[in-house]
Amino acid sequence: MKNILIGILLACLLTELCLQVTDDIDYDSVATSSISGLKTYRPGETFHVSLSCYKNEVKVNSLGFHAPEPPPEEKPSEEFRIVLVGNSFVEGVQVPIDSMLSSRLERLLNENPDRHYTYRIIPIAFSGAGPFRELQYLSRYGLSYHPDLIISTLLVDVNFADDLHGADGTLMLTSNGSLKLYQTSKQPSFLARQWNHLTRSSKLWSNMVRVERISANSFKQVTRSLQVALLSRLIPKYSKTPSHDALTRLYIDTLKTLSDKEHAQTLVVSALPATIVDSDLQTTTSQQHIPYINILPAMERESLQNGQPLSLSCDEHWNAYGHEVAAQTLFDYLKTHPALITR
Amino acid sequence: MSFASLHFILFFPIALCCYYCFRPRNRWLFLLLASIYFYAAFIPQYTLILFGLIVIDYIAALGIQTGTRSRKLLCLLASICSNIGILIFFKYFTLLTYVGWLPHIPFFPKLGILMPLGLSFHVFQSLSYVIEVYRGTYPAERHLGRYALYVLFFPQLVAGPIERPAHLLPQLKTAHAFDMERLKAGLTLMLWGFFKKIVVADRLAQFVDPVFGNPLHAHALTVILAILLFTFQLYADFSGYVDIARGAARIIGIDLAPNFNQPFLATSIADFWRRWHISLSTWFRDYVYIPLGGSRTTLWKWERNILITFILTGIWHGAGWNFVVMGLLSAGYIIAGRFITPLRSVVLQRMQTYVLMSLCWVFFRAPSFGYAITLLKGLGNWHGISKLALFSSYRPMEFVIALLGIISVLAIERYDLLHFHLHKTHPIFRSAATAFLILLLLVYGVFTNKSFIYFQF
Repeated sequence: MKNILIGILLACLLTELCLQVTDDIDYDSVATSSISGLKTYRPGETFHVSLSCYKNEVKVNSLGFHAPEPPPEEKPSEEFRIVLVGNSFVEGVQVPIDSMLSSRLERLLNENPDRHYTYRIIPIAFSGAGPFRELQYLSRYGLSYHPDLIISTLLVDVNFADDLHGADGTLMLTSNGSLKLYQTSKQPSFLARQWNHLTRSSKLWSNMVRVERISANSFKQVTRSLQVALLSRLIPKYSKTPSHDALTRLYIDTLKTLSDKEHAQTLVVSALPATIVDSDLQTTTSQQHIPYINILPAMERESLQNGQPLSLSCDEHWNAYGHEVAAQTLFDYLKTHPALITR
Repeated sequence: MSFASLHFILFFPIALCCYYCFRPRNRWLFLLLASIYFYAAFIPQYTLILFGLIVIDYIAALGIQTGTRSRKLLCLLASICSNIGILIFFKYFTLLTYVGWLPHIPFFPKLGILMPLGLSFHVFQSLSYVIEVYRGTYPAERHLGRYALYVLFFPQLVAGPIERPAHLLPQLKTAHAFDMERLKAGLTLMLWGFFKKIVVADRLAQFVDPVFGNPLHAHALTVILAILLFTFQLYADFSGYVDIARGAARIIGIDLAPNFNQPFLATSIADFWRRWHISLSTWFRDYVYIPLGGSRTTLWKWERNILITFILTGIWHGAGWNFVVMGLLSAGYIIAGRFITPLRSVVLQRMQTYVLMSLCWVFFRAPSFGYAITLLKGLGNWHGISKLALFSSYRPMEFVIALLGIISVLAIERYDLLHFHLHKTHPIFRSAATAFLILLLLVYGVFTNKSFIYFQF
């Protein structure tokens, strides 16, 4: 047993050494807000991300997002502010800030000769944020900029239930069915902070956490499909999670409440493949009179015409072309719905 | 299910525990059920096709064993026709109709079906059994269940190695007690197979696939690198599968035939084929090449035998001129090799073999003959600055890791570090080496869920 443990320790040291030479990813780039308990990047820092098919220098703004520096909270009268909330697709750490969906859309809007305002897009997006988590980010960071339009994006997937299951105490479904968006979390202790720093400095540890997440997700998928296949058939009321329809309504209602607070208009944007049925989303948004668009069909048509892929070869996220097409599609939609970009 | 899936990671330990919980005389039944489940996890309906073939060959072999001379021949022909017929129907007829090489037959239903996974492997393994029984070198198996297990044995079910009855069937009849040493050796071999597939092959695929996927705009240097790297990707992918299969079988107590013998040490094309996909090349040697007369005949007849054998080897891989050309190229190399004086240096001979075979694999990898030619035309595209389009979007370190992966596979297999030294060194070194391999697999693995290349055959 002693020999095995010494062997494992040696192997860990050797792997750490190999990773220190070959892995240039900065794993110590994420911070957790002591106020909201939400994760962001370390404000104002710059770090590198790379996978086999891309490499990018990520410039983090003072809010902790991969985005240009946000404007002052006070809004000039001629400025039309759009808060773009989203997940890793909107965050776009794979491409430079200039190539991101938000930057491109802002340029397209401001290049429009018929415009009445100076458009300013403030992206509030972080990796792994699901629909409800996006609302938390909007509430914590986005609303203080007094947006005129809130674009909530549901890209690639609309798994509301996963977002609730993954809650870490900052997102809760209350007993009366409403959503508690955030609560103040305690500042981590000195020891906890040192431990976090130490573990994030170890490339092996960080890689193992990544692997653990991948395998846990795969395992979760397998067990959930088994659960759906077996248990939910045997016991119809097995699932404690509210139905997709109920969660969609909860999401749209909360989004509406938040927008109404700032008298902002709302647009829900998705990029869902044909395999995911978004009828719940279509119905609920139309009931609440919130415009809704799935940009993926138009994006795929464009990609087919030009023979260029929208995504990276080694990663599901959009490449620079994907961001460009998404911005153009969204711009085309906004142009045909001028009320959305008019105060 | 694929070996490189979570499904298999869960399936194998459970199957293994149950296997050793069964009474030794009933273990074949559990193994058969596990094998059926393994295959049914891909497309359940296709197990019926396999069952059909199993029953036909089982009856044919019994008929050969007990029948008169003419009846023996009739049973053999019936078995060959059924096997080859199924293969042609699924592998060639459907494809040829689809690509428009064959006219659509009126009233014949349009087939929107895929070929059953690993059909070429099952058919050849079954044929080998019937032919051996016909030749009288192996008696017909009277137990239908055991014969079914011979065809369906899950570790080698989808992509070989193509086993011979004399090697596999007796092992399936023997009761195997649990053996800790076999478990260790089997797990090490499986781990090595996963390393080759997930760390080396799938990483190389990231460089190779974009070039083979879009050959029109590729720069010559990129094309050369992709062609050279694909040979190694194919080796790491296929030999990785075989190592996992052999490791899994070893834990169960069964030794599968090795399918590779360090092919990159081959000094000629003939030598290469003796080291590469050995179970297929020996199958063609024993059942096609030698019956045709082999090399103990006149020169032109030998050339004819080589051509037929390699064209059939090409066609075994798929219906398409690219596979025919692949076979023709191999045959051409071997025939030419007889008349050309070999290079003096062994290293140069190995390099020459590697380059020639890499050209051959272009026709294997390309979806059609025209596509392969388009890719090869890229070898003349030296215009503009030396733009390694393939690599410009990759970190240089990714390429270094891929190269280190290739070197480590070559070195470990060349010096047999995995099987020999590992078990005769200090326990600390053994556990460190195993843990290191697991960690490398986890941190450098490319988990893209890419299926094994040979699954398509």
